[in-house]
Amino acid sequence: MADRVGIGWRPELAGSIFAHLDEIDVVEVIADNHFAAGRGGIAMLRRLSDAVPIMLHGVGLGLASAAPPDRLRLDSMARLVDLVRPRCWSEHLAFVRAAGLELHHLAAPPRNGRTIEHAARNIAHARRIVGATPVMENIATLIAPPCSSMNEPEWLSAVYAASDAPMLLDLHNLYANATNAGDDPMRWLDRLPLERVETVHIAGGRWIDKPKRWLDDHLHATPRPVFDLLTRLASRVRQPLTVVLERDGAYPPFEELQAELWLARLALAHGRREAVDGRCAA
Amino acid sequence: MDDARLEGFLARLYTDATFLEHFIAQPTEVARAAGLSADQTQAVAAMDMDDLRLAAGGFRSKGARAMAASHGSAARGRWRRWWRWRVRMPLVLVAWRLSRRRITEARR
Repeated sequence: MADRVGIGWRPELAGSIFAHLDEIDVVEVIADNHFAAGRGGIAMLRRLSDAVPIMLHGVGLGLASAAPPDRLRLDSMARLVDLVRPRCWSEHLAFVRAAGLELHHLAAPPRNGRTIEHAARNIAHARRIVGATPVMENIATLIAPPCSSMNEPEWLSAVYAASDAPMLLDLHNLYANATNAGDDPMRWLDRLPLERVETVHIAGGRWIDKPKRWLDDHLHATPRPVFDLLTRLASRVRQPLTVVLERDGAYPPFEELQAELWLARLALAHGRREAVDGRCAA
Repeated sequence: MDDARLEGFLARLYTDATFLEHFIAQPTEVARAAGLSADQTQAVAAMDMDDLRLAAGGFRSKGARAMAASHGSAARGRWRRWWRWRVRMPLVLVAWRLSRRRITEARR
């Protein structure tokens, strides 16, 4: 099977995505936006999936929380997966609500043995309710979570081992977290269980001052180091990868997003060639 | 250790600006008063406060956007969903099918 390259479905990009479907292998739809969809909404999602393979991406379950995921949301995800039949569904290793407070964003849990158990338990619970294992994504965080006894690559590796979940590796999140920790993103990549990666996210961000940090904002073009990480990943694994470009606002002319999709294809091809050259040399 | 209590404490730091400033001024006292264990209190007091302020600002702005999108605008949200999925999306699909048909006929 070949690698695939696609884009996150956003209403603002709908027309351009349809106009360029010959260059888009897959689209990723935010599932939570369709939890309340009626028959008409589901029919449109089905028609979309007739035109192009779709993946459902959840943002509100908080599967790395100490608390079990909200049953209503899980049931909604199960209904959507059942009705739309996506290629896969995914969620984040994060908590999104606690003590009755909604964060409206993804928060990093402490990286320790207990949160590994919580995540594995919640992922198993989600698998039972939805009927398919979620592909789990690493998140970006501007703050090192307190009560952590592991670094991020160690914690992620342990969560994937304990949960047996496939990995959605967000290379921009990895780049942002490693850079903000003063570490080398390539070294972080090498320490992850890359054989579990099924899907990859690429996106952009920007530097902010006081304190100087790289912000994962999805409002800018994917930076070069992220494509370098993609090349490295493609050179290190044998399984096919599905790469999804995420853009959440400040939409440029679609040609610029097309260029990023082509850069992703080039990075993948370059990595695959490096792997073949390496095997031949050996 | 009560992990849910710690998550609740962090959630409050991320969403409540007054509580955050109170914590930054007196981290140990505020954490203890919130019922965190001694280890948890020590860990949260050792957090980088500049990073914490930055992260909390991000959470609050996301929350404000989410509230603005939902507060008093349920009808607008329904209207927007109806427009996107019942009107615009079918039009886009029809346009896409027509363009595919035109391309196929041109190839013939």
